[in-house]
Amino acid sequence: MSLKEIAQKILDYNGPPAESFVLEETDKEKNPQANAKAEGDNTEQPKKPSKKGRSAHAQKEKVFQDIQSSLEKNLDCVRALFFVPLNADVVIREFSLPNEPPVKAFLVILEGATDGQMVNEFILQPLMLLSNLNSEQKNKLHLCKKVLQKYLPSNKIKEITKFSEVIKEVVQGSTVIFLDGNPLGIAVETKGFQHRGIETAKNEQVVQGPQEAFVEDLRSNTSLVRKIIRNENLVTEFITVGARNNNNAALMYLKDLANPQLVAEVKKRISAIKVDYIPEPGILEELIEDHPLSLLPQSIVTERPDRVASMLVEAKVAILLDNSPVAMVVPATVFDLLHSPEDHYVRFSYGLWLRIIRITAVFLTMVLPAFYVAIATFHQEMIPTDLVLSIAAAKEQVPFPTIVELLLMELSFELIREAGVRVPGVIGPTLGIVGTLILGQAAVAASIVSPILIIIVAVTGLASYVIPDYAASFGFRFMRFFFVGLAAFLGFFGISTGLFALLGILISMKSFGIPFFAPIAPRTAPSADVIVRLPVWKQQFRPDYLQPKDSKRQENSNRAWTRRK
Amino acid sequence: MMKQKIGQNEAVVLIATSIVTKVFLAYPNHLVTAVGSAGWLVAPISGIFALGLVWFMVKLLEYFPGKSFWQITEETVGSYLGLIVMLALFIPWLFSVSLTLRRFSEMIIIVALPDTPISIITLAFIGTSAFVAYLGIGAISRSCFLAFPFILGALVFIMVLTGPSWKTDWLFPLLGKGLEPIMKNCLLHTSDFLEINLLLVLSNICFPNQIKKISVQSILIATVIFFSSVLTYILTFPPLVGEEPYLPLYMMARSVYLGRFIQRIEAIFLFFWVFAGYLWMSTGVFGICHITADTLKLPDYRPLILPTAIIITALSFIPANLPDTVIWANNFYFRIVSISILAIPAMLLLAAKARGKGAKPGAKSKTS
Repeated sequence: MSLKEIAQKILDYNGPPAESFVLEETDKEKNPQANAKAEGDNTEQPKKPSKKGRSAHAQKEKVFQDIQSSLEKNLDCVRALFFVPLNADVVIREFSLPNEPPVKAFLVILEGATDGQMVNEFILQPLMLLSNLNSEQKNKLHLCKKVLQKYLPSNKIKEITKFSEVIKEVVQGSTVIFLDGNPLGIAVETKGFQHRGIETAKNEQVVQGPQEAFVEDLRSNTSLVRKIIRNENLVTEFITVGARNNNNAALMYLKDLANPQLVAEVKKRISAIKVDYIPEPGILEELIEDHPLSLLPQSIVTERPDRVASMLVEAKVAILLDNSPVAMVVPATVFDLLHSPEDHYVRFSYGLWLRIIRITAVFLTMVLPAFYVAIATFHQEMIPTDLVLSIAAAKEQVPFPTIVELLLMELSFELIREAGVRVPGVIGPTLGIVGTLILGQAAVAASIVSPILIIIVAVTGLASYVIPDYAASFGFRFMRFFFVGLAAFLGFFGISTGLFALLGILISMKSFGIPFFAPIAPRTAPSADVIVRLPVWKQQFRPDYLQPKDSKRQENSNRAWTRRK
Repeated sequence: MMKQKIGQNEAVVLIATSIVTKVFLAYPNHLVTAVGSAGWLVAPISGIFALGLVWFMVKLLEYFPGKSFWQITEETVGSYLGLIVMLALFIPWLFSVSLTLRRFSEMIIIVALPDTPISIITLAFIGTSAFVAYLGIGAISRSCFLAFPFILGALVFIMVLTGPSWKTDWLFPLLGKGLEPIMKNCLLHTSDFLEINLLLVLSNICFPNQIKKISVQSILIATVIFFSSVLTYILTFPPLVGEEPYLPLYMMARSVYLGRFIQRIEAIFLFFWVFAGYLWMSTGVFGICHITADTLKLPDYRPLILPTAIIITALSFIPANLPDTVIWANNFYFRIVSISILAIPAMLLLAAKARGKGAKPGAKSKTS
């Protein structure tokens, strides 16, 4: 062993370090000018594409090709389109149909997207073992029709002619079969994506009423709605959204109720989207709603099929996305955000009471902390003498001004709320202890905040969770910071300024052509279910502002038995 | 320019709120100062006078259904003379809005924020009003429609809560300072219904077939509110005491005593007063921009909002202090506005008749 080697061993020196991995810029980014020139000037000769570029280019060309008669060429094409053998998820199964002479064929599926058992039992088995095509038909094109009619016991099957359709079908979980000598493909639905079973609603729970909630499987979701509305007029239309994830969006509406203009507008907005990835209605919502910068949503996002069904019979339109356990219903008014399905499931007087509680909760969420700041800072005369003395005594030890005190507590509350969502389940109780001890007792004991402020923050927090719509609850909670700022700056005048501006904004907003404050501003035909929820037999008409095709919900004779004949 | 239409109920409450905003300022005080214990008589009589004057306005608008005020003026008296007529309407509006801004800002200082500089309050006021005016007449009128029941409720609440302090003795002598001052003030205080001019400003925004109902209903509502507020004020404070406070309604709210726990509720009512002020200011800013855009044949009024807001703010700071503002307001209302409110519609109606312009009343408008 040389001296050098001994020294290297002692010092654990393995030579100069290897160059670490650095993600390089793409060719396009390295030479932006040339690329821009090439894109802008079509007459110029295109640059010779790189190897990677060439393969992408070849793939792009193949997408637009028609399916050919030659099985070999189709096979090559499919391999190129799905990057076989690089892509391990793609399964290409070559087989022969027992014919004289045997007909060569292959099918293509995506592992994980298809139900393997279904492919084996209902496609491969009939075609390989049971089919007896023989030579009774000379016309090879007819072979394809015969396979479709006799040997594929599937309820959803279609002929396709382009490779673009092949891609679309395969990524959706279908099996595409190619037969030699046939310029057609047969797409058989064999979807087998994994999804969880239907469970109870997690975020919109009710004491009385159905408990089922949507899941991530679109077909299960449409089925849940259809289970409630068993009507031939319930239409489900599919639109593909997201250029990369090719997600299915289902539009559900009642053909004989929903205004055709509304349906067309919803379809127009969704079809116009050119985004690569839309996994969830929250993202879709931002792209299609009228005021995406608003703090309040202009659509109802719900996980309850019964809620969707009840809104469909009001002539609204539901949008469901694959892989999302919630549905989006449009249009929505500000009052819809305060409704819960339970309002209708309990007796009407309780339903009315629940509504009153929620409207109170909205105001408490928005302005209660601001009221406290305004009163404590500017309008102390409003507080009765006994109370003002007790508050003053409690605040005596607190070194901060009211606004600082309040912001500290509100920020702490928001931290606990966010941590409560993110914290792993097993250490959840710790959060409760930390929240209770630190925020409740320790903050008061350390004279950082006054006890009355704890009450204000707690009541505000409680009130914010009374609002049934999750996004609206966020919006109203967020608004309270604006109001607190205005109250600290200008007292009650500041709060009224904020309320006036907010009212103006809300009233000028629209949701899919419907005023957000309808039916109160603008005033339309009186509705029996806005703030006051009247008894069911009094709810004779559908909301007028939705311009339904049939405005009458029920006859005025549902309690005719109470009248004297 | 896309014209948004407003419905009858929205127009009624918008005009009524604009008129009755004075109640939150010094209106009852003016009447008590002018005619003593007979102040409550002035409100209904001046309301009747206002109804008479509105007749000209309604007739004029019936002659030109669906047309804007500038179109009516231009068609009736031509562009040059029309411009003078337009200015006769525009200038009182501008001053009225500016003085209201100043008086409301002063009111906020008196009622709630004694240590805050008036410039801050004025800027908040004009900024928010301009913002809502930017949102359009639809947003203003609908906000008004929503807020009006609460504003009215607050007014009624204050009036009722002062019930324990009422003394019918203070209504006497029934004719106050005499018949002559009463009649004179009834005539002068017709100008308190200046905001009925909104009908002219919004002539092409309201539905032509509803103009008559809108005008009559809004004046009736305003008259009832004026009457009841002055009556309760006189019942609560004797005339000599009633001449003192600048903000009579505030004084009434302060005098409310509902036991040991609820004594000082005036700050709560601040919300409704401020809302009423905002509604009138937004309407005023919108009206000025709308008239200007109409006269200059601009496709949109919104670019005018910022300059208009700056001009209004600058004008509102001209009076040196609150008493000056009050004097300005009184002189302005009684001497200048009366002329415009009396003269313009009647003059235009006569000119239209004389020159045979306009459609026959009752003719259907294309825009209705």
